[in-house]
Amino acid sequence: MATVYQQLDPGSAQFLTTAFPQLKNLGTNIPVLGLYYDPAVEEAAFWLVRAVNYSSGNLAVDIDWYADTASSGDVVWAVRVAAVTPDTDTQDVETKALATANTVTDTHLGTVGQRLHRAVLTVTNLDDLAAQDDVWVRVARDAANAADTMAGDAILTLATVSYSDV
Amino acid sequence: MAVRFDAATDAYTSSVVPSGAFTCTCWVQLVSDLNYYSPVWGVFNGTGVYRYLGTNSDGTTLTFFGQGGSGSNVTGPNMVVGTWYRVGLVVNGTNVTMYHGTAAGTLTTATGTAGTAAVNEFRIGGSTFTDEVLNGRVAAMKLWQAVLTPDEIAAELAQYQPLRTANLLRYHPFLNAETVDYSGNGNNLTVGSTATVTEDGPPIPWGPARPRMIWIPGVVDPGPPAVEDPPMYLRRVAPARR
Repeated sequence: MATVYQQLDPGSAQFLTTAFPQLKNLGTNIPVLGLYYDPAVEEAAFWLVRAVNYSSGNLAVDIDWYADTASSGDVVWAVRVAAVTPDTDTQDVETKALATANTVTDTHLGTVGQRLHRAVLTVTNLDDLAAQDDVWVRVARDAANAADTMAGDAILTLATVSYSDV
Repeated sequence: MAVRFDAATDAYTSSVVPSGAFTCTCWVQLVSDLNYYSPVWGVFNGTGVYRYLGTNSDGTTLTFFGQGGSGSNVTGPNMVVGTWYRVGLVVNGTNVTMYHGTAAGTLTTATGTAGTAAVNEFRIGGSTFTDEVLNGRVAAMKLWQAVLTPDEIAAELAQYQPLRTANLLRYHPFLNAETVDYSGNGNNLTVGSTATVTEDGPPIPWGPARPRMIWIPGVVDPGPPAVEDPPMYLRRVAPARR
């Protein structure tokens, strides 16, 4: 048994027409493409992955992020998934609902405001995920959560989904 | 993200203009209804020749003004302040086709004609009429010296990055309020006398989803069992004789 990793880059994120993080490309010596999550409004980005060789167990989602302006405080990240088994599920895919969110609170480590952090989130609400399912992964900043205390935007630079294979 | 214009002196300009048939796609949003002409982009030769996209005198009806020797207006949507619109415009000789829509759904087509008198200036966020101001945002602007198909235009409007690079004359994603031409042609814009700022942009990705390669570690075949070395027995060796 080994671990399968799937990287979700900001440049290929999909959005609904409202409440989505803004895309920016900054950086002095390297291009830092990131999704800017608002501190006051819940904004979400989506990716579609195929659960290649998924066996069982929870998903881990590593969220690499940094602060736009803050150098302290906590950020609450929320991930929801919607799993569809092609040829088996009869649910209209356009009205498919997401499973309940799982969250993780990550604390700004201080010293340098725009240092990179990694929040590790465990997805236990798997929406009956099965091997080879198409999985929509929704990554949001839970801005309304009282535990989200960091001022300013949280900038996602990369998310990585991992799970155990068969 | 997007670039925000709110004064006539904000306009970005360039002397590099398309020649012959061309296609331009961009996203535009009105921040305020000025109840007057609000130019988004266009090509000009003074105030006598102009082919540009902007609102009509009502401040909200998106219109392509195809003047310059002859031509007629092409009327697009009545824009709602604060709503993003996708707009693709094809000028092919005297024929003009506008493709427009909001963020979701299919594009609507409108047609008209344009004059062909020579132009010498490309402008974004302003026109050569100094009393015309865009109070709005522009993003993902791409301009080709070619006629793109409706399907190509719809695909280009679905992301910041250009899918088609052939005949691309200029490309301004406007993730930041900047004047760089990312087409590689060096057709950078010149800033106006007042600064523009970066603001929220349309709901589109930077580019298509990248192919993801997933390595599934296989089970290592241990191969046949190792042959054990034969047992070693120690025996007493008689001391060498002198």
